[in-house]
Amino acid sequence: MSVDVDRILRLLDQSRINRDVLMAHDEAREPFRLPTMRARDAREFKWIVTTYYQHHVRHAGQGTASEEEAFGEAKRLLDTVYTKDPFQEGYNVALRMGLDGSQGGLRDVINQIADTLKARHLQKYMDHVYFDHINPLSKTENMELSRAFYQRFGPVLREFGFEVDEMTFAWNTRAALEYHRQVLEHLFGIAKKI
Amino acid sequence: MADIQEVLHALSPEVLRGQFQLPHAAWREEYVARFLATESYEDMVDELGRFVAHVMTRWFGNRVAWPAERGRSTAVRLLNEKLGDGLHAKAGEFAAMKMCRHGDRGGIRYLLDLISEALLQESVKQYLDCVVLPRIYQLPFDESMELARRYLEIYEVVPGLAMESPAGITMRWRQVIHQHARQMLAG
Repeated sequence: MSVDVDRILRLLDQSRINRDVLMAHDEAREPFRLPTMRARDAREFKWIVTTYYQHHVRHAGQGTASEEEAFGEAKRLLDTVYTKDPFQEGYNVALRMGLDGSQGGLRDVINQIADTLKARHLQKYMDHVYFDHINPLSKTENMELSRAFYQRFGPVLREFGFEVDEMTFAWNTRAALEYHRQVLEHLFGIAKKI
Repeated sequence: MADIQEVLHALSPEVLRGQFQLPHAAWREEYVARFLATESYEDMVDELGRFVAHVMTRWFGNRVAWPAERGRSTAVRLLNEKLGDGLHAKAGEFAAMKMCRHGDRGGIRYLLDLISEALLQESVKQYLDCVVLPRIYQLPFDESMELARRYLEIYEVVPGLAMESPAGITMRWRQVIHQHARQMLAG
């Protein structure tokens, strides 16, 4: 059985990922208008964060969330994003920003929610590509994928990461593909400058 | 002494946030992009130009006319300043076009945020250079020293410059207040 390298590469194509995965999140964030740039109190802050979370998941096609679910998820997310040390509660940092407008204020809090949901979706998509299309391959097929991959991108990958060879790729396909994505982003960056 | 109080007030985080950061954030929030990705350079520049005109109208009211062409040229200038490589005149426009075509980083949404941030920085820069700095420069030297002393009492150190002597501050007021504003708006 031969491996469809083209198909796997198409799934990992940045334009496709932007179009199918990431754009929905930007489209969800853009039309949402914050009712105020500074929340009056903790209660209003909670209401804004909850409303935005519900709006985002609905518009990004990720189902609906009840008020409690939305607030719980948003709080968990803000705790992760704004925590700088283990003793600090990220939600309280976000609350302070929302109340006094520091560090970008309420707008930054809402943007962080949108961007984190976007990053999570990307992670899920990469998991899907890996578990549905790469993980089921046998060792022989994995080697075949690695060889085909190196026939196309070998010179580039060797140029930017000499420690990754065909065998390493075959044994660590997931890490290698992630690395490939980073190399492509890096190359796009160089091309942009040229 | 009243002058010193005025300058310290003009540099306070409440004034910088309340007069500049929050209004700019509100104007960005008011504006909803018509599309987030496009193949057309004209459409991209037109959308960004509309946003610049929107911000300028909010900022200056009806005192200054902002025709569409002026909004577009400002948007292009800001793109080249912010996304350019410093070597090629149109590098920023090319980078922006690539983002719009493939929707990288959120496409137009990212570019609007970038332009909003650039306009905020320009307005703060004008405020510091045209309002705050002349007030400082008109102070006699001993009052300027007193201002630097009072500044250090409040903020302890010029953020990011690690400058601790009032005499050092009085010799570099422009650099100090610009650095101060950057730090206040960031943190």
